[in-house]
Amino acid sequence: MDVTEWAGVYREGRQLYTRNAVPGRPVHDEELRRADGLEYRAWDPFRSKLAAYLLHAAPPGLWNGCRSVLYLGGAHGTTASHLAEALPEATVYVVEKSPTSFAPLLRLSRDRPSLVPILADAQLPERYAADVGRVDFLYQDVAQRQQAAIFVENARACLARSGRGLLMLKVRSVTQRQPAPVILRSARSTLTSARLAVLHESGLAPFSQEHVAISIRG
Amino acid sequence: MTGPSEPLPPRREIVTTWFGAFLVEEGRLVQAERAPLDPAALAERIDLRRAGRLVPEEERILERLGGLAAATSDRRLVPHGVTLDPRARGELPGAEAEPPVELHRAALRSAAVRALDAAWDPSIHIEEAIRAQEDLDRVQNLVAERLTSWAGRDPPDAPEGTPTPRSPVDPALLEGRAALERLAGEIRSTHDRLAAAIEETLPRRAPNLSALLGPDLAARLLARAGGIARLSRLPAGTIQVLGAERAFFEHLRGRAPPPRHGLLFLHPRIQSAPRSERGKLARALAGKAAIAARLDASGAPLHPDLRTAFDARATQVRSQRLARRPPSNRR
Repeated sequence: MDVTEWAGVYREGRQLYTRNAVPGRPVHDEELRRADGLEYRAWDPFRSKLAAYLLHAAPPGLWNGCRSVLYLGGAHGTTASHLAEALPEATVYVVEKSPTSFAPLLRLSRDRPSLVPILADAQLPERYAADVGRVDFLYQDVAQRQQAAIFVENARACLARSGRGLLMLKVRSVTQRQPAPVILRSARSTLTSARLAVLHESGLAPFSQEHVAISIRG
Repeated sequence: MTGPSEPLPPRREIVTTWFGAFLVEEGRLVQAERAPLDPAALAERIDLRRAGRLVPEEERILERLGGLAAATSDRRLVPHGVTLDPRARGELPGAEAEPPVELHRAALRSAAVRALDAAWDPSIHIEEAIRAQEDLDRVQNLVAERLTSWAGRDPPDAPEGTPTPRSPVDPALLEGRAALERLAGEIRSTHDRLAAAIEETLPRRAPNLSALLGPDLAARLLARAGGIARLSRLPAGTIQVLGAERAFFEHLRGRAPPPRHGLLFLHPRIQSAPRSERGKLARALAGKAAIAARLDASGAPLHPDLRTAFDARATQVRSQRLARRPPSNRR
């Protein structure tokens, strides 16, 4: 098992792993692997856009040293669980608005004390901002038309000074009517006009189609 | 002078954290309202914030502020006369001691359990049952068709005494067919069980729709609309043609007359009416169904007038026809 340039992430060949926080139990049906007396969980880039982004040469040390993370659009918690394992010292606040998706997320958080689930709408950050406080890392993966605006609003309400962030832009959730480059350009301008500096950008093919990861610094 | 990357902080800022509300003036803490540090009190405050309301500590700050201008990064305070300011960073000056984070996590977690509990909609099970029933309808048709076709392939009876040149059918295949027949029976009985379960529970979950339309038709409308919440948002005109989408869109293209009814045709009152009256009755029924759906979506109990009103309209339609028609020797 080799270390990578991202804290808490390990790799063997092209496959990424994180340390399993609950040894013996996978989160869905991913591979568990023992190495040097420790257990690791395979991080599937087809299921998790964050893993896909890492494989697309994400900036080294993307989240190194972060003490708190706000994760918007947690869904069933697949990606959030890996992120929590990569940053065992950090509190990961996971916001999800659908009760159907929230139930498995809540179950997951029972065994992982650093994972804190919040049933709320990411469009209304004022409803959870006081609980989250200022975070070092903001991650967003929601299927909303106003994705960039939601990201900006959450950065304003919850991102610490010069904190980092990652927006997984679902291009087709914004509109079906415009070509991807136009959508991307308008998202980028929404971010920069809110004083968020775009550090790095990457498509996620072949793992996810029509998604672009945008890495920022506040 | 501060550069553009470090704008001056606002003069007076209200900061809310999970452990209290604070007033910061020119970089100094001037008022601290701390929340009691026990799980129940913290959870109560989490619930207030989730509902977009103020916590008691914020109210105390606002009270003492007495209308003086202040900034915040929290939109909940905006309706109470505080300005939303991007320069407000929601940070406390100096080393403000933070209570144990485990306490906060525990409170958040129990709030999450309660929130999920409150958001859980038991009627989702009825909707799943209705859809399961529709799935079974499709599968049942497929399997029945295959069985009919397969049964027709049995070898014709051989004439007496003549040796058959045919090789016999492999018994394993016939056993397979028997298994498929058993499955068809199983599908039918499961379908009936689901229907019985829906018929039993729907009058409790959607009393008005069930009373007006009968549980079976009510269930079909609900499935078609995608649940009670969605059905309650449809206009009566849409409910009238639910299930007749194809005819409706042919009509929109100018190729067909408008459909009188879709699923509502299943209602005995409409089915038994003469053709010329079905449109009127379907329109009246759709109107009452729309009201019933809205009552049920809001959790209202059974409203007896809906059924009576529809029956009255049905009688009226009928008497108009009888009045119009000259007395004939046929009746």
